[in-house]
Amino acid sequence: MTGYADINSFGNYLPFKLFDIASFDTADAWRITLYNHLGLRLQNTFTESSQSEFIADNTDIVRNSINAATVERSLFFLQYYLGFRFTHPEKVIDYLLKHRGIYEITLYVCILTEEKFGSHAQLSLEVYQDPEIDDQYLTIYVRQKEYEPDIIDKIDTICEEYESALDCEQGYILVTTDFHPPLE
Amino acid sequence: MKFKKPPIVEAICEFRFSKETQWDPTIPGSVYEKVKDQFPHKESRLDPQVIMKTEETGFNQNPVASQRVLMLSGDRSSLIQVGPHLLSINQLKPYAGWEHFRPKIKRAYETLGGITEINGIDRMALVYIDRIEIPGKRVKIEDYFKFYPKLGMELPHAHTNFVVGVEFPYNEKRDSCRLQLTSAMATVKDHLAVLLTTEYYLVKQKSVSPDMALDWMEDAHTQVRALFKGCITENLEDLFERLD
Repeated sequence: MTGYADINSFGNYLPFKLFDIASFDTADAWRITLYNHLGLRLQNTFTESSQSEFIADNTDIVRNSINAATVERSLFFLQYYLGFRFTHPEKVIDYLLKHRGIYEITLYVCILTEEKFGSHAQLSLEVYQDPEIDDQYLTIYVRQKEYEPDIIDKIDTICEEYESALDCEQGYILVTTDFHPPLE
Repeated sequence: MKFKKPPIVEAICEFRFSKETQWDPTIPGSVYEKVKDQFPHKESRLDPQVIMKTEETGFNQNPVASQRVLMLSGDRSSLIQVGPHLLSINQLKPYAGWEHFRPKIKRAYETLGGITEINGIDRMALVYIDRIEIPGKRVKIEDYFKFYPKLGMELPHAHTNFVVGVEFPYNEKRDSCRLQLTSAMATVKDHLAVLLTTEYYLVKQKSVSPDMALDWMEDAHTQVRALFKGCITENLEDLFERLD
């Protein structure tokens, strides 16, 4: 994929080759999948150069820093292009800024979940607060009008895909369902 | 200019040191030992970075993974990040004011300077990210901002999201300040949400000596504050509930 490295903020882009998969470590296989998913998701929305710019901007490959603005833009992407719901986006942003290690993993899990359930489920990214102990984590709720009998099996296959990426991270993300109907 | 409800969601102070500054992998651990009373949680993350080289055919990239150590306060709202030739101090909300953020910057910078001699600064920046929500179904953005997207009569006025930006040069182009207003996700129905990002940064590498870096940061803060004041109207000040 050809990308563009910005030499100033608002123009004068210079080309470089982005996401040369062969040069990434195999331990980061999920990360490669994430970038490829992002590329595929964006190919019908942006021109090729804009895709690379968008990915670079939102996964911080080039600028290499996660901040409130990049997290906000990523949530906007999830809402606008993948149809995610956020009942309290400010809580999700706050959680990701305090647990920066799972920022990219969260994008990855959201994309995996949308791929699995996309058009036949409502996906909601929320911060779950345990009512009994001081513990919070991100949760993607999969909600359907009529629940498929194998929904738990499908959710399990998603969890198997990303759980190893969470090793050594302080934050946590869970995909689950509460069997509630989709929110209005 | 103090507010009861300040819009700041993150303030960032970042230093990138020149290659003349000696660096080794033990430096983050040494920094942590000296700041752990205030930043007790230590985490590390591998950051994929892209090293770019100029070649005859254009730019070429070489992805590498670098280790970055994060040192977080007890409530995780304040952190120091140390990576190869990089020091960043971040303050999330609640932002208690420059008088509370400045000592953290000073402590982190001087701690690092006590561990390795800082021989040059390639880039440094002070960034403020404000998240602003304005109630109302049909908000006239010009009632709240003096810097906003203006749509001519020939353009459709319904839009989903927007980005407007401008850069101001300072100190004979040694420094620059990038101001950006973008749409954001409203947390309440029928609210207009925006992000205002102000990034004051050193453009000319090594044009400020390491012993003047904290003075530069003080000046950067003064300029950022003035720009913020210049961006907002009294209506917005009322929403933030001005205290002084």
